Amino acid sequence: MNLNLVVILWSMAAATALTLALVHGLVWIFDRKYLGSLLLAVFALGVGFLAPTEMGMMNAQGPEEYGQWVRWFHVPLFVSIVGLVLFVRVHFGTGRAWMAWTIIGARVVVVVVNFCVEPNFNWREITTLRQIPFLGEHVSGVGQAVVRSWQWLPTASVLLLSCFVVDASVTLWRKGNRNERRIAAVLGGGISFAVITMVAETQLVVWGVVEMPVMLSPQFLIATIVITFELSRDLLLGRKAQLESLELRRELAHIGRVNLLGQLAPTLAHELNQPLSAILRNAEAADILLGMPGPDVQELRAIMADIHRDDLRASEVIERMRALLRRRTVESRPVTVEALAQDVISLVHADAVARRVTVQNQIPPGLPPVEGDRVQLFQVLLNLLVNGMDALNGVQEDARNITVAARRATNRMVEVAVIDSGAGIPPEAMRRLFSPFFTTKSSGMGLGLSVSRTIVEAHGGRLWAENNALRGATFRFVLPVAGQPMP
Amino acid sequence: MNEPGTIFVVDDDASFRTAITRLLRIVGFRVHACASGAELLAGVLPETRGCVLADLHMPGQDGWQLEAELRRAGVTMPVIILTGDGDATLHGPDGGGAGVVLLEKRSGRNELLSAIQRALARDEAERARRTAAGEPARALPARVADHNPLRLAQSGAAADCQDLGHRPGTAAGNDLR
Repeated sequence: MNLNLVVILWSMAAATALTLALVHGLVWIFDRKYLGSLLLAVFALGVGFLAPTEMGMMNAQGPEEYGQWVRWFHVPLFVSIVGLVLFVRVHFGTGRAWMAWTIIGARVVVVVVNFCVEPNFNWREITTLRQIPFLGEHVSGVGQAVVRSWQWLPTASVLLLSCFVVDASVTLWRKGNRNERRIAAVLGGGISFAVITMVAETQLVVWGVVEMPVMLSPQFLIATIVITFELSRDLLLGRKAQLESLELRRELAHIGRVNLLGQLAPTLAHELNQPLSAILRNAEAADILLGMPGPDVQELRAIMADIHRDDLRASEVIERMRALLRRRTVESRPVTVEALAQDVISLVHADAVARRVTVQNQIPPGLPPVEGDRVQLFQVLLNLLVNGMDALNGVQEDARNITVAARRATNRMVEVAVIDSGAGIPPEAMRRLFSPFFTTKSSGMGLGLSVSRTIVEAHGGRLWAENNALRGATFRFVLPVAGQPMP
Repeated sequence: MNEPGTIFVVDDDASFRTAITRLLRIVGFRVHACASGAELLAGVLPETRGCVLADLHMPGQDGWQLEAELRRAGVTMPVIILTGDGDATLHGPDGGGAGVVLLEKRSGRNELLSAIQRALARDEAERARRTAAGEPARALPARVADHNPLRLAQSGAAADCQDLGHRPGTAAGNDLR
């Protein structure tokens, strides 16, 4: 084999395609989310091995060697066609299934039969080769040969492949958002170009219409590069959008907490007022004691100890408020549902007392912890409890109950339920319950449930509402148990 | 009739209950502390003399409901309701609340003490009026002592509390502030 231009170009094409295959394969290994990367790697792998077999044909010294190279040519061709078809299915989402499976089925038949006959699927007999001028060299091409009567099968399969790609692209274009149109135009265009030139070229060569070497790797390589460019762009844009939506969610969660705290402000004021009032009375008592002859030092000590304790109590209330108000980064950790619920219930305790609501914590001990951001999960539960209490406004005082329950719903999920004894959710409200800015309250912004659902879903869980059989409504959410990969 | 009446402190918050009981005892009142309205209702009779100092927000029974229950039980003692909200209305949810004085939980010592003084005085005046009008004499100090074995005020401090801001000229307006 001489080191001519063809060898140099085709070796470079093979190296490029294999490198791209490696890159896409690694992308898939590190981020299993997108199957398209794996399929593209398969396609590029096929292209990488097409080039050497094409070189083999072009440099073949006799008809027999040529025939053997054609035979081997079918293997990478099969791999790249399967990769391409499945990639279009996955990435476009519009490729017709029957077309895809027909193409793959036909190619399987071609490959299998190809290795059962001599010299290969396409020709029954290759008698002579001829030298074709190509890129300033002379390369081998088929001279006298007999094409098999089965040749219609690969011809039909690649024609169908062209139809499949064009159809998928056109359908995607019609569906039409901007990004989809871009995919349809750039990817659909690029792949269609590669496939249609392949069909034209191979068929013309096989049927002896034109004299040129069989070569698919150039246009397939171009297709690989175009797809790579598009996928990288998608990946980068997707990552950016992901970061932006994370930022947005954090901001929304914060607004939700500020809003919640606004609703809880009277309660928190009461909770602060209790220790502050106690401190005031104790200070007044100490003042009077100190004005007496021979003050009771024992009593003064007790007063000081009480003042100290109440001061700590007040600062705990303030700390809880600050924890909710803080703008913060999201941290995923194992969170114990039981403790979380207890903290939320303590926070609403004063409010519940003032509104004559009995809040019961029926969470059994020993549930596995869930994975998530404690402050955001606290917010979700707090929101559901505050909503639950609002739902009890019109209910008789001795029947205002909220129960917080939890159970292990499945192996992977823990379910938390907030059950109220209110009037339930009217059907027309049920539909819009989780839409932003939907509210039935005079003072609400209508963000609570929408933000809560966003938070729960960002944690890989679900949040929904249902009316109870007897009375009232139940809000349930499931969260993944800690220590397992996020779906 | 000269024996001072008892102040019944009703608050579910132990810390505040301790503090206000301590203050009132130091200034010389006879104080009985209860953690809930139910506890108070179990310990008073119509003839019990004194006044009630109850928190507005309590689990089970709030200040207004407690007042209604007391009236139903025939207890006529004036009730002072302590609020921390600053926005509580003068009347209870069902329009009751005659004989109730609303007071900010964190109002000054003088204001608190004078409100109590006036409540005790009103209780005495009401009993005197009823006795004069020939209504059944309910005020039986001896029986109060039987049912409420309360600590007696220190006589020295009792004298002290008489000076604490009880200024008739301004007191009337302060009650309902």
